[in-house]
Amino acid sequence: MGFFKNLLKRYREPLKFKLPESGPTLTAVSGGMGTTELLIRLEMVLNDIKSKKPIIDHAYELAGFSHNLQSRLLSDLSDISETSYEHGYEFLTVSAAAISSMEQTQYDKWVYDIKSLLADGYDDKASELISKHPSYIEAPHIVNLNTISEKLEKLIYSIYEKDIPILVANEVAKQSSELSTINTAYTDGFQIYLPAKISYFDNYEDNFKLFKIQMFHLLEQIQSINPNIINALGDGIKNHGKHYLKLFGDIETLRVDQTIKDNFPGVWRDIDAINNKTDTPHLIGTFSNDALNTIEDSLRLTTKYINNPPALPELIYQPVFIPELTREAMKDGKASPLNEEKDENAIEEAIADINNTNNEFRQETNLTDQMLYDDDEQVKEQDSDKQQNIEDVSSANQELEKPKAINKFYYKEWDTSLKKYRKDWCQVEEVVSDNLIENKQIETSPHLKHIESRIKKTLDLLVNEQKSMRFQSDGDDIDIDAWVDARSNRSKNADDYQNLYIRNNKSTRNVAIMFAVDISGSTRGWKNTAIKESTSVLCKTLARLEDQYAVYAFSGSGRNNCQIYPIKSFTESNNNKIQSRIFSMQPQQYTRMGAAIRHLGTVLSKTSAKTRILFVLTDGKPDDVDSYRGQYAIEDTRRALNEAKALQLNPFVLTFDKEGMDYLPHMLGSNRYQLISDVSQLPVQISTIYKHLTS
Amino acid sequence: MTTEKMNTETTIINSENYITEEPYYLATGDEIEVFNSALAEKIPVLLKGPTGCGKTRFMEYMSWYNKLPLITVSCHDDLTTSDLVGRYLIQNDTTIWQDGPLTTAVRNGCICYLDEVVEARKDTTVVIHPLCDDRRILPLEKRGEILKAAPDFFLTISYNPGYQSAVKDLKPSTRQRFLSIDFSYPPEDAETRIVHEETALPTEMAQRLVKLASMTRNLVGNGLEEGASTRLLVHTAKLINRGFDPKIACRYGIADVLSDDSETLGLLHDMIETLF
Ligand SMILES: Nc1ncnc2c1ncn2[C@@H]1O[C@H](COP(=O)(O)OP(=O)(O)OP(=O)(O)O)[C@@H](O)[C@H]1O
Ligand SMILES: [Mg+2]
Repeated sequence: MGFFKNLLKRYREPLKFKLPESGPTLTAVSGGMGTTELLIRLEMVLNDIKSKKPIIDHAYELAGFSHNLQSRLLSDLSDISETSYEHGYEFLTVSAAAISSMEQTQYDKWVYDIKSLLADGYDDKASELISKHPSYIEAPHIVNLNTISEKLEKLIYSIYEKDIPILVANEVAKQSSELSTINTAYTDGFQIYLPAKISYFDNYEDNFKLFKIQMFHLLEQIQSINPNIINALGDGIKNHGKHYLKLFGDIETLRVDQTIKDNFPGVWRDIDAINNKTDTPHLIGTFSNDALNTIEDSLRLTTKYINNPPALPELIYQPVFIPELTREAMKDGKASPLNEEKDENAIEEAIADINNTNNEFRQETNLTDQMLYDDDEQVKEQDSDKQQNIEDVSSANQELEKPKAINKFYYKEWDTSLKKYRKDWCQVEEVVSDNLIENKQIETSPHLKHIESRIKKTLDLLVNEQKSMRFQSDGDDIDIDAWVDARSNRSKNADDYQNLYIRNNKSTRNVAIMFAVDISGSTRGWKNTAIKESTSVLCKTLARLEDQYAVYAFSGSGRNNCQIYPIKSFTESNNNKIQSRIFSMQPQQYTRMGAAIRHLGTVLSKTSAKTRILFVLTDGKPDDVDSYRGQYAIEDTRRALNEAKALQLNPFVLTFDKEGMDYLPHMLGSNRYQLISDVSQLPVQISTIYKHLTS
Repeated sequence: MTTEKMNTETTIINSENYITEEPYYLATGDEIEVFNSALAEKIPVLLKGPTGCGKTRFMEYMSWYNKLPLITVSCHDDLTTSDLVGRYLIQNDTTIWQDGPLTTAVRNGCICYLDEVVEARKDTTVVIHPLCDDRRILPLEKRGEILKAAPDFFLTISYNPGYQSAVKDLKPSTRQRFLSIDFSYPPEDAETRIVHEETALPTEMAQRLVKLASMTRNLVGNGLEEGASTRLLVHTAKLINRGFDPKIACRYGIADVLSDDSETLGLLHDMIETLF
């Protein structure tokens, strides 16, 4: 199965780390935190334990790492310490060695496993896992939901054209559930919850199948559930007790199996295989005398057989049916997204009915009650999100009337924890700076002149390949010179008569390039100089090609303050004013990369060129106030870059950040980023990329 | 190069341009009536739609139906006006004029089908303008001649709006000379029938192929540039008929055709796995 390889590939890049410095350092080494700062932070995290154990040695160890790795370690450490300081300390003692020896995927899984063992109360096992880090290899048969959820979501989308997010199931449901066998899968009617990982079978493929089957079952549940059913279930439970719900779930599972068999033969084949492996005879024909086609049939049969239930097997993939959750979701106006055409009044009435019977309903279903209770926090989070969505909708409706500032644009942003876009989340403004430096202040060092001429040379080679070609065997026009030549040589070389045409290739070349230049605060110093010099040289040299190009700088602070500084638009041509704009670029504030890429991508996509390239020149990771950093920022940027790819914009990142290799492969895919440590490398880099992308 | 020496070579329409056997075409709307009316009124027609949805097949059918020869030109971004209209060639010390396919059609009264016109250079599309209004003339600039279209001459162009999105678009002045027939993928049952009729693949299997195609079409913009076309389904069906396992056939006929990106391929394979 090809996808397994691909999943691994995503994180295969090993962690880059620096060897610890030997002596004590009080200041930061290569951008990381210094020993003193680390010591303070470690003490804060490890609170109680600090007086008894020597932390300072570990602070020395960690001082050699990049800021990136240090922050990661500190955050893992504080997660672990939150459950147990002892384990936190144990983790600290091995962390430097572990992070140096493990690949990122392994490290992430290792930490994840430690955390989940601790959360489940297996303290000894957690200690063992921490100390055994050198031999830690997660069994390759385990399937983690987070590695496949994006793919499954796309699969859902391909079938139903709807976004149904897949989230990790709540642990509480697992503990309190008497209905599920080993895994917990459930839905609230608009999102699917699956177990964090599945390791039931000894091979990856079967475990993945299990995930997929659960997902298809829940999709069918989402599609068929409606307020009447929830209502009727409430009544059934009231009259017959909790086992009414269980029988209903069992019958539903058989019905859904049949539906899957009819509509997704491939999934049915998987179900069959799984049932064979678990020695469960599938009983799809159990109710062959009764019609079992719709969810209403399931309900009818449940009532029919409630006092004399047939023996039904526990199916390993059977999801839990939690009417409460669906009811909650419907109450919030999020009715089943696959059934939009349902009469809204009917839903409202039904919901009112449910609310009336709610009290009795609650008493009967301890399972779901407890779950909702423990689930409170998550529900709140979702609530605020729903609130947000509602606001989004109303703001979208007003969009036409709302007088938007001419230079203000609104862009969505990807929230990786919610797996959703936040609509119109970032406000981007184009700011024209008139604070230009004098032309004479633009210093052109001889070293720059040299680079400039080198780039020109490389690019000229490119251009010449495009010029009109003479002496061709066919073409747009007769090459008179060739003809004259041929005639005068006629006796000598008959071949000359073959090549008498001019072929004009010039205007087939059709490229537009957007340079997005990061001028965040972190570029202060040599990087800013490097960025200015690179941009200046590029503007001068690209004018040589007949390609359209534009330069925009970006920075900002917070989602409502994303600023874009136009340096050169596609229609302007390079001149002194543009050069002085370039040299007036000063480091500003933060880097909200996603918004910048979306905006500049939009600008670029309006050009009519055949090949469009989006170069992002940056010094490091996306980072902004209001917690646009870490995973969130990287995932949003990744999405934005993918959107650009979908628009056929060819994104490409040039970075001065040595740590970039930690996240760039994930963000962009291979061959789409390049590390440059000084301007003199630009000619080679740019022209190779350029040639690669435009030819 | 003197004028006396200039010869004219015009291509005479030969039998290849006539379609003698009825091509299989399943109408999914009233496109046949619209086309015939346009033909009667001499209003050129624009066929819009994604690749492999039956545009060429439709043209073959209409050519057969009306017993008019069909000349098809596949436009590419290197296609110049001379490629369409004609050019001088050199033969034995003299230059001779050779008609391009468009000129041939205009002279002899054929249906001319310009496939994917947007791909051609901007200046190329302009030469068809005087042909597409009441004048029905084709100026042959290089010969200083104005060619009047034969009564049966009829122009049809096609273009794919999804492709390259808003960037490559027809100019309104070009667009507004045409009647426009929208060719999107046929509805599921029609498409199933087409696959079945074209390849004799059992209907049940054809249905699954069509379902897979519509799943890939939902993925457009999300990793895929375009979804699987009817043509791909026909190809895949042929593989299945030759005894390939449907999953393998879909891999060769659909997944690997649609994408090179390993992530997208993984997803396509999963989609195949759910249906076969
Ligand atoms: N309505 C239809 N009736 C019969 N066959 C069809 C129909 N639609 C599609 N096909 C099948 O699909 C195949 C591809 O169609 P065709 O070559 O006409 O595509 P097209 O629209 O011209 O594509 P392109 O834009 O790539 O040239 C045909 O060979 C035929 O088998
Ligand atoms: Mg065609």
